[in-house]
Amino acid sequence: MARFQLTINGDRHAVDLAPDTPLLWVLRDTLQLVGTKFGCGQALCGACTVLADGRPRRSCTLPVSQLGTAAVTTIEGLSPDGSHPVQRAWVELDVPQCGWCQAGQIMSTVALLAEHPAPTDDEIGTALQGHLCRCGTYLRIRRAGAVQVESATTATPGMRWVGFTSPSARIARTWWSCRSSRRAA
Amino acid sequence: MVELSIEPSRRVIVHAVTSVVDCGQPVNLLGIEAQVEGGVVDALGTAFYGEVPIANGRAGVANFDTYRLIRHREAPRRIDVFVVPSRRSPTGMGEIPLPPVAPAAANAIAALAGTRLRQTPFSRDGWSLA
Repeated sequence: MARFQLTINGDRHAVDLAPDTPLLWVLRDTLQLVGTKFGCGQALCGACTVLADGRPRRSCTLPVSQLGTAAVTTIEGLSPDGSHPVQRAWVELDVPQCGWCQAGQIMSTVALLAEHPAPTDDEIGTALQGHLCRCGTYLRIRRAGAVQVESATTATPGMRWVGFTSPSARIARTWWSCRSSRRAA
Repeated sequence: MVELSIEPSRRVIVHAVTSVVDCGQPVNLLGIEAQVEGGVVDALGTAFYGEVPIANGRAGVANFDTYRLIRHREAPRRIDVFVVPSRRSPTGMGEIPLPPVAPAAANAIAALAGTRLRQTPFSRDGWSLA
């Protein structure tokens, strides 16, 4: 056992764990953050994806000892009430079916949009290629991911401030607008 | 109806799938559309890759490294969903979009390549999605 100081969704946690404990089980079992799902256990499906310093990581194969000082964001950390623009786009388009893979799909989409504010359909598909979905929601995910990012100076009605407590200031500074028409893509 | 093109090495790009469903009185159009899209995507994955070989009484695949699922970029670029107007009692919407897709895809491949695929998964005959 060893003691680790973790930053999860902006909160500090001290945990006593075997160093090879995958981050996924720290989140789910130790901290009861069960929004992050176990899928394959071998980094094959993407369901367990969380952000470490803003970058998507497969938490099922990431030992807690290798996390270092990275600040972790889980699906619970995007917003307290599901109001993050990507979450709202997901709701608006009725993306999830069984829902198991969706937290991972959303986390990778959030990371992609932080790097590439206006991705093409192909770019979203490439970024999410490692995320499997048995329900076949891929097209709907890509449509929901096609939110447009605008600068604050060109704010128009319908745009929303991203207020989630992200470890990445770059993400928090960004303005988004959701394309509301599900026919748009 | 499946619209596809064939790249070298029997790699198939599915450009569009048109699916028409009569599920009685439509209750939730958005839900119907989502179910049909999902059924079409899963059907293509099943047609091309879906296989669980049983050997010595055990499943021969145990995880996604050996059990291949369709991925984001392999999904059709477009799926058009049409719902037949109906006042009959609503029916289940979970499975009906799936069965027609494999024969439609095989038919499209036959129309283009002249090869009749008679068994799934198509990957057994060297076909894959691109």
